[in-house]
Amino acid sequence: MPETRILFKHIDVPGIDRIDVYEQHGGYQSLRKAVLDMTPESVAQEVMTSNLRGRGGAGFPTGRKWSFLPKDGRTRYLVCNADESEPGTCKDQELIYKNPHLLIEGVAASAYAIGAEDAFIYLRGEFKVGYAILERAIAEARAKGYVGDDVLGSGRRIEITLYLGAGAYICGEETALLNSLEGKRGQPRLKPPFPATAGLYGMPTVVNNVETLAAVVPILEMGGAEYSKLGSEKSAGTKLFSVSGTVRNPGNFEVELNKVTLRELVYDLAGGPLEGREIKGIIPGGSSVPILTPDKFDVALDYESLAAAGTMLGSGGVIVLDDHSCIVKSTLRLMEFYRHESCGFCTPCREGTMWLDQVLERIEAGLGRPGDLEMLADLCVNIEGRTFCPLGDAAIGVLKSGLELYHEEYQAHIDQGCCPLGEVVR
Amino acid sequence: MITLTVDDREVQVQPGTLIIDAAKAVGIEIPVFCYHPRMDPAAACRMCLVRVEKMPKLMPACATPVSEGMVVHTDTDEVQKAHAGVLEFLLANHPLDCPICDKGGECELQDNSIAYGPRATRFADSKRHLDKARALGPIVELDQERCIQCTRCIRFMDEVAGDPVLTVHDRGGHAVIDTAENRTFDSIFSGNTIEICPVGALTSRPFRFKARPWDLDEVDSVCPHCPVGCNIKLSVRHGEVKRILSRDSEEIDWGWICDRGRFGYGFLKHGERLEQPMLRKDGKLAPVSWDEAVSVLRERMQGNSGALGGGRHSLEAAYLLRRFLDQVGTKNVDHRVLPLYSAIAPGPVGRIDDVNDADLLISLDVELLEEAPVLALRMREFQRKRGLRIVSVSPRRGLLDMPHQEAQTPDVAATLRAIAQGEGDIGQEFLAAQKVLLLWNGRSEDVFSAIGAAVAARSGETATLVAGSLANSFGAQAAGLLPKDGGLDARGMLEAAAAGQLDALLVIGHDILSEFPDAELAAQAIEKVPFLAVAGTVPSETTGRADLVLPLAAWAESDGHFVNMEGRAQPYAAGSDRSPQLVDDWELMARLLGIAPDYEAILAEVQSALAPLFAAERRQGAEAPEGGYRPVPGAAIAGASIYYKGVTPDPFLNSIVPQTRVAVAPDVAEAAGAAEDDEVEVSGLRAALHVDPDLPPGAVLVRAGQEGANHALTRAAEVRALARRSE
Repeated sequence: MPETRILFKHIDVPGIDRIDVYEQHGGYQSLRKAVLDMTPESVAQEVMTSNLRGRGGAGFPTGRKWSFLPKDGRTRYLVCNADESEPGTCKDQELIYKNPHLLIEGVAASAYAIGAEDAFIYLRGEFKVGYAILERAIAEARAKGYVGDDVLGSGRRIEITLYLGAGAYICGEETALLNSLEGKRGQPRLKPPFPATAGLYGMPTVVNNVETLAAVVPILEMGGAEYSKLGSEKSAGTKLFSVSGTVRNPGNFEVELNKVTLRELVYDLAGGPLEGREIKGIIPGGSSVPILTPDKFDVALDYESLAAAGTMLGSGGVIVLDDHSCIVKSTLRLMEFYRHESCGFCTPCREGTMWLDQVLERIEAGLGRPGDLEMLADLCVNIEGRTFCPLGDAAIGVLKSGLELYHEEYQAHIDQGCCPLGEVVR
Repeated sequence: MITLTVDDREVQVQPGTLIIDAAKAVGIEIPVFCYHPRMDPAAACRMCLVRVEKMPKLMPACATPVSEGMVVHTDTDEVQKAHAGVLEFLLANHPLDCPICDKGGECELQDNSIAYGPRATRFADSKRHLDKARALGPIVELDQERCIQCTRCIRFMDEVAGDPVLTVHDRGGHAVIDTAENRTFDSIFSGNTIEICPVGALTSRPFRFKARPWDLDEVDSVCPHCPVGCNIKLSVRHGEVKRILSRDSEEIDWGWICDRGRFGYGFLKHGERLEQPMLRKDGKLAPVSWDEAVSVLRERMQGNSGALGGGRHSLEAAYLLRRFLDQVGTKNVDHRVLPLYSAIAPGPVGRIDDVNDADLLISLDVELLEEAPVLALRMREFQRKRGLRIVSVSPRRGLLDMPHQEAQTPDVAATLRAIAQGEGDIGQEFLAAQKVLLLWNGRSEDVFSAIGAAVAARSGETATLVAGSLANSFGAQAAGLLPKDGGLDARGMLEAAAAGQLDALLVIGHDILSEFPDAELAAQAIEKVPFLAVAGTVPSETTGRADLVLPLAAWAESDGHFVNMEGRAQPYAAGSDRSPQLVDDWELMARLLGIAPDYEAILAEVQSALAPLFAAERRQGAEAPEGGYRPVPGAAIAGASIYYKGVTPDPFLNSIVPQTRVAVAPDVAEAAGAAEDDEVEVSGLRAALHVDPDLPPGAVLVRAGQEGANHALTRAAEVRALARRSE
């Protein structure tokens, strides 16, 4: 089962991060077509027709998101969410680091489509190298007239501003991102109003993921109708998946949605389990979604199929756990992350992640008590759907499913007072 | 109207109402922590989650507006579990030091735990340990362990006070409230955060560990410090005021008070007080009986006498004083001891809640945070919520701390007249606006008459509030404590006394040596007047030189009424015990008059004689009074100071008052060769220098209460550099 490389088409071309090479491979033709031959409305219509869905995690149709902008003459902003922080996810990073011009072209074309003169790329705090790469690439694009006061002589101004966050997972949530971008504390805003009506600096704003905006380039190249033929009706196009964990060939893979199963992705493209190991579970959409056990591995990789299987496509971060991976330790590792990253604004997330982390740590250390597992499950109930933003739900995704699917392994930690997998845990 | 169902009960409310308020309307209580009815919702604590049919998740009642046909459940098993779950989370790391907590007994965490909490916790791991006594500023101390991160305090400072000095540091379980970098919590509204803190996290230095709330009796009172007249409660234990809380008034204060009002009670029991009547005999003040004191004063006032004061005392006392002066036949009386021309403006008297629906508010030389602080909060709210237009007309810039337009002018009256004639954008707006509120500092006769012209020029509704006076200045003026029929005003009386033409002077509630804006004249008057009687609560330089000293009960020890800037008589009740020799201010006046000190009868008489002050209707404005404050050309500008407007110097407040500096315009500093922080002398007043670019050229500003300020207000203000501190 081969990849379908559209976003990654030129990812391995040497020097593709330089504008000359990018142009030699057809770069900036989509933007040229958009600003010189198309109206903003027709560009937006192509995206609508393409059925592209947001690649950041929630999967909301991009064209519809754009259409929510009120037509009231106020200044509009485009914000690119490059705060890729979901554990297990590193697709945006590869795109930015290797092929920055694809993102810049996608951002510029999208800004044109929604009528924004200013676009911002919000990078996670750890992407310092990516910042430098994008900075140079934007300078190159500006020198060639793809970005600036008069893009390609069209009379349209499109400016792209880079912003490096301070290193907070929560800033991947779009309203927390907007607060951070405004120089405020990175914590989510009360919705409504939604960013489409009151976003950055109170103005109508579209926030899209890196992969989403990059996909606008091939959509304009091949046409929205053609793009929509990729994948399925509801899950159109290709998607980048980051496969990590105990597999032979971890990395990013681009596949057509709905045409590849989870098993094919992990066992074929990612090389399958290490020698002598067996995969016991896969977290398919980043660390926030429920685990799938081997009986579910034949699920097709698309939004609906994964939802039907009780999990989510999410960010496409596929984390593989094998029979040497302790479920308690793996979950504890993730809970440490969520405890650390909870912004502290709302009670269930702030207190809940701290509490869950303490209990998991105790169980992993062999100090679990009878009743701990029931309590963990019940604390998940008291968090799920009760928090201000989705971080609370994200924090318990793996724990809640793990408690059901690997109950015996959890129970064994408590009963035996130690990890049943012993020292082989990696 | 929108119809919805809450727990099977039909509710009709205005569109935009939040579920929590709709439920309250039919008596259904939804528990909260972060929600506060006077602030925007945050939905942070998750205590108020309810089930709304057709919604996928439980919804925060504090942040979810109602919609037509909405069906809300606040008491299902699922909702009860959510409530208990949030409480279990909050209590997991709570120190549970309730036995020594200031909030114990009135704590929302305790109350909600009883009503909605789990009966036991499952938390068996180690609690978080944080700073138990973090001084955020001179008044407020934070117990970070008790804090539940509701952010009411942060949002109060940000939204309501407009001074975002508090913030969250760190995140997740490490999140703590603290001041922003390089800031200390020195807002004059800081105490409100203590009152709205749902737990015992924010505490006040004066009250910390002093009493248990359930031991405190609450007595309704009114703040004695400025003409806003915020409603307050005295919390009393064993006859001693232990703290002051707000008493939410929709029309006046919305439950906010300033720190002067909240913390100025320590002097009652712990400050220096006048304790007994004293009469000067053989050059020395010696104790006398009240009977003797009253009879001496009555006798001495029969001659060519005068009286000063009334703005700091009860309406009842002001009314009876007027009667007494009529009885003895003196026309010389003036409540305007501090810089003031009139406490009542011409035209209809404004109401504080006119701010709610005025289109345009013009502030005439009012330094709002110093003169009427809590009014600023309402103005900010409506500026923020519906863009209330605010214009400041003054020689000074920067007098208001919310977004507004500056109309800087050397002549406020002339500018107001021009506006009234429709000149400029502001003039056009002034004439076109449906409702205009004029806010005035009450100082000058010119502006008084310009206000009259402005009110007459408009066809729409116009009203005026005077901010620059004292708690009962309106009442004193309404009761007739002004010179009439050729009587002398304050300056006239002091000039007459200094010239040896006044036989007796009665001063009530003022230290004229430090307060009357011509200390030299006051000193000469005191020197020459054959008989000086001073009634008040605390000793001062003036009482020290008096021939008769009459100790009065303070407002918290007495029943009475203050009449605020709206002309609204508001009752206050005695909460604190008092020294046996003290008498009520109205009681002293009754004795002078020779009538029975029967409060009920006196109040009935006042209510009948001054009925408009007790009626619900808007009061009518005043005729131009005689006399009043006459600033000397070239003298310093009289700045206001909320910390010096009070009835008394309070030991605690004095310890936190920021050091006052003399402010000068940049050209004045340059001419004097002095820079910021240098020590300077202005007509005898020594202070550090503040160079204020918001002052007009040539201006020197001294604040009320500054030692020696009165000299600077009556002489050409010359700034002399003394010592350099600017390095």
